[in-house]
Amino acid sequence: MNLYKRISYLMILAVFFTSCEDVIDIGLETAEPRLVIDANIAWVKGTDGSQQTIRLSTTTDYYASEVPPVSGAVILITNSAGEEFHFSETSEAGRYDCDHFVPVLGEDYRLAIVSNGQTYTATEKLMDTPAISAVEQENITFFGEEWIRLTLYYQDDPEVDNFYLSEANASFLTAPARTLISDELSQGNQARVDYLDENLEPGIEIVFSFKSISRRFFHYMTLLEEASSGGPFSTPPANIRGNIVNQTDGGEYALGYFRLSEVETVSYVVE
Amino acid sequence: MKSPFFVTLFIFIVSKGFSQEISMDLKNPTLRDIFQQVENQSDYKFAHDEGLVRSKPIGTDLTIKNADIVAVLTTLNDKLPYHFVLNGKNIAVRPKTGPAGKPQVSPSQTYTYSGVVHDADSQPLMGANIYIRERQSGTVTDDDGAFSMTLPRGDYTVRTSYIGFSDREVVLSLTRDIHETYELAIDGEELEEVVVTTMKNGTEIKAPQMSMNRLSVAEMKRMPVVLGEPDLLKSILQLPGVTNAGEASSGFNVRGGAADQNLILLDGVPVFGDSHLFGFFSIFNSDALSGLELYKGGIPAGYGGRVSSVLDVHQKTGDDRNFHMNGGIGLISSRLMAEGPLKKDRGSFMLAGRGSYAHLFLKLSEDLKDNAGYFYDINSKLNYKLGANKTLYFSGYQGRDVLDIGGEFAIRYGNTMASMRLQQRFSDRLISNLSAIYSMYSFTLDLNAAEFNWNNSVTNYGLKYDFNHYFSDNFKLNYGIHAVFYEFNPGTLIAKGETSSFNSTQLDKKYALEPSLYIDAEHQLSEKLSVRYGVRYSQFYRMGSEEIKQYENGLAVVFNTDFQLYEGGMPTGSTHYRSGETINSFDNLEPRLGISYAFNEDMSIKASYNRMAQYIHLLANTQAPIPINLWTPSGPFIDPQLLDQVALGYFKNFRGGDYSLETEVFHKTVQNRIDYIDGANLIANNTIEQVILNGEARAYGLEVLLKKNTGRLTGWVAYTLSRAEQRTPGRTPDEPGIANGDWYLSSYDKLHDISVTGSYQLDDAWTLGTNFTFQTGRPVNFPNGQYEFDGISIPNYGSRNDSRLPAYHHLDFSATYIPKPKKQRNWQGEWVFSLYNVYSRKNAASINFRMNGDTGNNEAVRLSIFGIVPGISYNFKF
Repeated sequence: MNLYKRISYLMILAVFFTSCEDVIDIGLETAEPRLVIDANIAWVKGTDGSQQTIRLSTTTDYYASEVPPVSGAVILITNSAGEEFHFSETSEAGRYDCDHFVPVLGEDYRLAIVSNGQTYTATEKLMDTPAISAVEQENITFFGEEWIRLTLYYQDDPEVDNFYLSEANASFLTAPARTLISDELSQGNQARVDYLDENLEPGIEIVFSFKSISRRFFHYMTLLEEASSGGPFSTPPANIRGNIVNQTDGGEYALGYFRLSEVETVSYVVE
Repeated sequence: MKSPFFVTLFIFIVSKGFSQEISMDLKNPTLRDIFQQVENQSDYKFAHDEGLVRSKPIGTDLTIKNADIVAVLTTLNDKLPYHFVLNGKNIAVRPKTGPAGKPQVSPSQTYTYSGVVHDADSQPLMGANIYIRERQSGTVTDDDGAFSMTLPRGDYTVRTSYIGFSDREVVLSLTRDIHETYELAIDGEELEEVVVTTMKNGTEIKAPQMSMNRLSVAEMKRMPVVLGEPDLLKSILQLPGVTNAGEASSGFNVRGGAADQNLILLDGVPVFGDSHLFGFFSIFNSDALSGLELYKGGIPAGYGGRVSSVLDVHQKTGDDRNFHMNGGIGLISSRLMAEGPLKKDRGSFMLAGRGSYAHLFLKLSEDLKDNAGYFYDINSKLNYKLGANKTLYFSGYQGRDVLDIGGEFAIRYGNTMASMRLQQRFSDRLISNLSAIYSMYSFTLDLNAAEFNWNNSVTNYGLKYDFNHYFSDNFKLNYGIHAVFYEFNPGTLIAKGETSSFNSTQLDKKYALEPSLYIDAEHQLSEKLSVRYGVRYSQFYRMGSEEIKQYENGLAVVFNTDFQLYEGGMPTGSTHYRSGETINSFDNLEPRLGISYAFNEDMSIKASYNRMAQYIHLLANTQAPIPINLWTPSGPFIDPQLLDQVALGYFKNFRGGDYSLETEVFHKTVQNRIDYIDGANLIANNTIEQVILNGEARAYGLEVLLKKNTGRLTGWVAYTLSRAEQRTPGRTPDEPGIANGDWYLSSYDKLHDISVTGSYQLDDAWTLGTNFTFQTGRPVNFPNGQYEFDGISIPNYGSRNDSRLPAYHHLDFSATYIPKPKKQRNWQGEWVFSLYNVYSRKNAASINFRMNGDTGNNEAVRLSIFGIVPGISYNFKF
């Protein structure tokens, strides 16, 4: 639940009648490029989880249309038993694949990347994810318009603090619509995630992917969202740090995150 | 500002001529003309009391050729009804008529001369001047229009004056203690032309109080504003040293201070939420007010609890003789105020209401009829004389904002305030005020879609006992004792319905008691030197019942050296404190000092120092305050903010107060300014200590205020050059702190701030007004690159607040039209036309960096709130 965000929406609505938005030219400086590690190990329920991908790139000019990939890195994930999973670069620059990964719930994994003479590491646990028990559809009226609202239900574990990331994918979306959830105020409940979009109409298929995430990754994603959505009222966080540590030179830190989750996917066709 | 002003300024700077031969040939000159001639041609200077009328023609022509000063004075003594006496390089001027010379006194016989000054509607006039001609000294009325002084037995000429009112002069024969009531009439009401009277609007030269501005409601109403809604908080932005975050943002920043560091008082009751409609308008209905003072520095010991400024707003006191109403109809809201006697000459009431009605148009639309959005205010003030020396006052306020979107989303917020005050006059020298106050701010959010209801609030109960003690003309003491009890509800979450996925939750309520006592002396040491000194001793007790968590090493926030970021600490246990039990406490001694040294009647320098403590903090990490207004008390993990401010000023009146100049420099530091770790969630957070770091802030600057106080054209130019910074260094060498522990610009830093405000009375019917504002854009973050993560483009930001928005400026006009101004009627109306942002500057409220959903390219998007905005309103009174 992000009250700030909801209130910001209302405030934007309140100024809507007089305010205007326009795109302007602003010259920006560009900092030295920095390595970005996007290591997302996703074990989709019902698969063996052996196919995994890690992407390396760097920061670049804000207005650039592409980010520069990083090639020639050596990437290795090790489990607690010392078993190694090598990721090798594919024909797509900056993309490194592994076809023999073995996911185990609750297992600790260690990521090690050597790139440009620097060694980067991160350690995380593979999180298990509750099942989505139902998807419901409801029509609501909101500011004079009819909306279709989809709701996912799942059972929160009352014993621990949980954090979740829900993503909705649809053909009309260029990037998945994300919702970050903390169980702080819904501990142990049959909990829900709402999804609203003006483009929802009968016949459209939505694929939800839902996963548990760590507390730290929840905070990390919250910061990224704040930085990327840039509401008019928030102070964007500077240099958002993930869980990657440069073992060679702590000052030359890398951006990005190494995370592992079991993923629940469910597909729903709007009625 | 026309040339005479600069000529005067030039003369002041360069000093006067050296020729001792004086010539003049003047047709029916005024005293001022004569003074100017003599002072320009010699190094003699006229000394006279403030009440001397210098702008009236003397009724005869004056010709002097190459005469020395003695000959000049002989001629003047002959021709004019004044005594001119040479005394060194000064020429003393005294009227010949009236009670001449010093009164016959035996020093042991002194009496108290006290009284009250009010306007035609029995409204007490605060800050009115009481001037005793024969003694060339006087006093100023207090909040209730009361004054008191001790004088030897004798006959006196007393002049009473107040900004915007005609002066009144009476002859007083003091042979016993006297208590008088003076009524002043509004300037120009009976008079055909604008009368220029001496000194009445000039800057205060002798009083040690500096860094203080007064605004009357009349001045506020003349200023052009958005949509023609007179607005106190927007008006004070025209003063030097005062800015805010921009259009449609609540709060204000004084001398580089944060919005939560302003103590806003409405009839002595602290206000926690100052705005309607997310900052478009302030909660102050101009019809219900009489005026305000803004203290930016040198704050007297009677005020405490906030470190940046005190905005003391006064509600109008009702007329105790006749019933009146006034009101206004505007585009956004309408106002109505009624006042009249409760019992003639015994007591009166004032009741005012204001409501917006834009939402009524929503009802006209079939699609939008389920939505509501409005605000209202109700102001009231009652007073009743219980006896000759006892008066009871009641002040009340209630205001709400409601925004309801189809029953799915609804928010309601606002203040409820009340105070009861018993004023007692023990003698003509000792007045006491005993007040009980209540203030509550609450914010409610109904989110039916998510099946929950949220509420948070801050409640304040206060008791104050204040004394004003007059010892002599030269010595006055104010002292008192205050106690405030706070109840903070950081949040109540109520799950609605069976299926709500939320758990009903009550976040830990917090309680605190803030007792304080103060003594404040106003002491005139000599004709030239005045001081105001005092001290406030404040305490703060954080009290149970509350469960306080303990942390490893006592650190609620820890630094993760691996990932180089701040995180919440690990609780190791908790301690339960019973109701009323002290959790921890603070106390501070807050000395205050103001000194003024007057070189002469028209020029002085002043200096001040004040230390202040602030025990409560607004939790906000947004750029502009939002209406949820979460306050939290100091306690085991949050220290009180401590301010030290010094200011130095130069004050000068030109041409008998027609023009005035106030220049001040200030420097202040605030210890324990709270800062937040990146991504801190402040709402519904029961362990707020896990996201707070204690930092510090500082600000310094120069303020210049040039005013034209009299004539058809009045107004001012205010310029502020300042810097506001803060830093949060690491607590250990391993920690970098926030932004590497370096000083960074506060988000309300404005390097340059220029405000021009003018009002021109064209004729009896038309008055024109204008405002111009120019400010350096506020500090913001611009990205220094981007990267891709999980399929989204993330702008990467470098250090905090290292870029700036484009400069913010706009020009506004207003015109006030009074139809048939001379006709004596009961009904008086006026039209106010306004044009805000005349050249339609698109001022950036923010610049956001985001990916264009259609093109996939990154772009910078400017959000601007107002283009050119016309406004019209109609005001009436009867």
